[in-house]
Amino acid sequence: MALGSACRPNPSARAREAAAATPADAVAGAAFTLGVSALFGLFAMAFVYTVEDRFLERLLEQEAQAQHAHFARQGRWGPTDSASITVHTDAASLPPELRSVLTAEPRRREAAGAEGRHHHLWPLQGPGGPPWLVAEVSQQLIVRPMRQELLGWLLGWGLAVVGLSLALARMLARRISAPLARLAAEVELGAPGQLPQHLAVGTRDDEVGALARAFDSLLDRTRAFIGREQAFTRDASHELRTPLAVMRMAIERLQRDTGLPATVQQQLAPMHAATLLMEQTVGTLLLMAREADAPTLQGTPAPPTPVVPLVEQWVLAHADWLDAQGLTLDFQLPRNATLALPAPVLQLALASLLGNAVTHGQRGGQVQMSLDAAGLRVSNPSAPLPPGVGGDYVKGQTGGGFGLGLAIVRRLLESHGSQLELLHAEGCTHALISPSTRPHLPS
Amino acid sequence: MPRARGRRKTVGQDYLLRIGSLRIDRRVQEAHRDGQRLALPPTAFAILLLLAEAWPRALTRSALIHRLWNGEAPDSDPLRTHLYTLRQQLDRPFATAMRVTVHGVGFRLQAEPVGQGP
Repeated sequence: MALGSACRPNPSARAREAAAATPADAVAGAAFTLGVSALFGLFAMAFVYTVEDRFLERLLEQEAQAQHAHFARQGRWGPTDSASITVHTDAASLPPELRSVLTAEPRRREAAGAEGRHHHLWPLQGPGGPPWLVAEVSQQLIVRPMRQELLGWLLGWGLAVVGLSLALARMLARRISAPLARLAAEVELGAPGQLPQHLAVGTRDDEVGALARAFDSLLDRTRAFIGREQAFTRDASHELRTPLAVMRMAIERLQRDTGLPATVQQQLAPMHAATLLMEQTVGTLLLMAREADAPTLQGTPAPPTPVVPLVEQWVLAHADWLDAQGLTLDFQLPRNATLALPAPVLQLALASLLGNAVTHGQRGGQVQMSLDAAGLRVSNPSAPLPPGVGGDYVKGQTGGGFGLGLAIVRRLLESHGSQLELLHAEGCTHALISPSTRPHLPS
Repeated sequence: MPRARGRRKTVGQDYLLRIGSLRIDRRVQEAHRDGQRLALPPTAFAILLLLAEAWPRALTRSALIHRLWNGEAPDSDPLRTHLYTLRQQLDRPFATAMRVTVHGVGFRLQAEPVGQGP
């Protein structure tokens, strides 16, 4: 069966969109990479500071060994090798900025001073106390003058690595997800009448290939199932048409036989009506099955079909039935009005709606039919509609088929882009066929 | 319902149509009822001929318009005047009407019941 021609988004674009990383994924990836870069930058800074400190401590240690040797020989501390290193015989002789630090933290061996001074401390073994070696190392520091440059360098490379890792991740994600995106696009392009085939062709023996093979298998089974159902519907409808026509003609011959008793004649009218309904349902099923076999015409607008001739034909064919029900007709149909539906589809929809109006309408009532910009409307006085009417297999209170015929007609109309609406208001049932394009209403 | 009688044509006279008391001569484009000639303009005669050829079936308005004007009718209700003329000639002077309207959408001819015709 041909499907409606509703526009759908470009499936390839949608599949690519689904396969591509989302902004949240990118932010998470960038944050992780930046975090790793920052951690290693921290390690690098800690390493250079540690090396520098160990170098200065080594100088102080060597000076301490020299001072201890000097003290052992001469009983007093000697001059230092470097002007930046001084010997303090006790804590009181230390600069005030160091004294306060050591008072608070006696184990402290490094302290920053005012005006950019930086001190390293080394305790000496000697009388008084305790004596200290103090190195003012602000002129020997290597890392501090280049700290800004070092941080900038680390930050720059960190950002560059983030950019590179994002680009690499995107490229890898696309390479990995491309087969999945292709598969999604092919599946999305499918339609009930055109199920995709051979999805696994060209895929690798990986998870995507396994998914494609599973899809192929499922679609093959679905295709076979649809084919069997269509063949059954077509064959059953075709086989039922002839016996139903024979029954109807036999009933019509009996109705013309004036020699029959009145009680028999009374039974013939419902038999005739039931046979007509069966013919109509079988005709609808056959049409649907044949449409399913026909090549689909997606996107092709349905040819305009004049409404009035089809309505008139139905009324003439069912004039005796209308008379038997005592129904009158009120048709407000512009003579050359057309609806964008194939003639057989419109014919069956009219037959279903008018047939229901006669079957379920109030005896002696009026069937109204009108055509305006909204569509084709059939209205008639009737009992309230049963719940869910128009769905599958909903039966009317009188036992007559409501739902099956209407459900089929609804599906048939929907397959041609039209809608069927049913409602009951103020004692009247209204059925409206809304076509995909506005009806042509000549003035 | 009483059995109607009528005969579409006479053997050997294909140009003649007989339905009850109605007789149509296609050769000379004339119609008579109860032997009385019906003064029908060409379009009204064409309608009568189409209904007679379809008898006992009915013809829809759309079918009549299509057959008469090939779908290019001069106005929205082109049959009205001609049907009125036909009824004036075919039914008004007689006891029973032969032209029957079917639910406002079609027309057919009805032969007179047995015993009422000539």
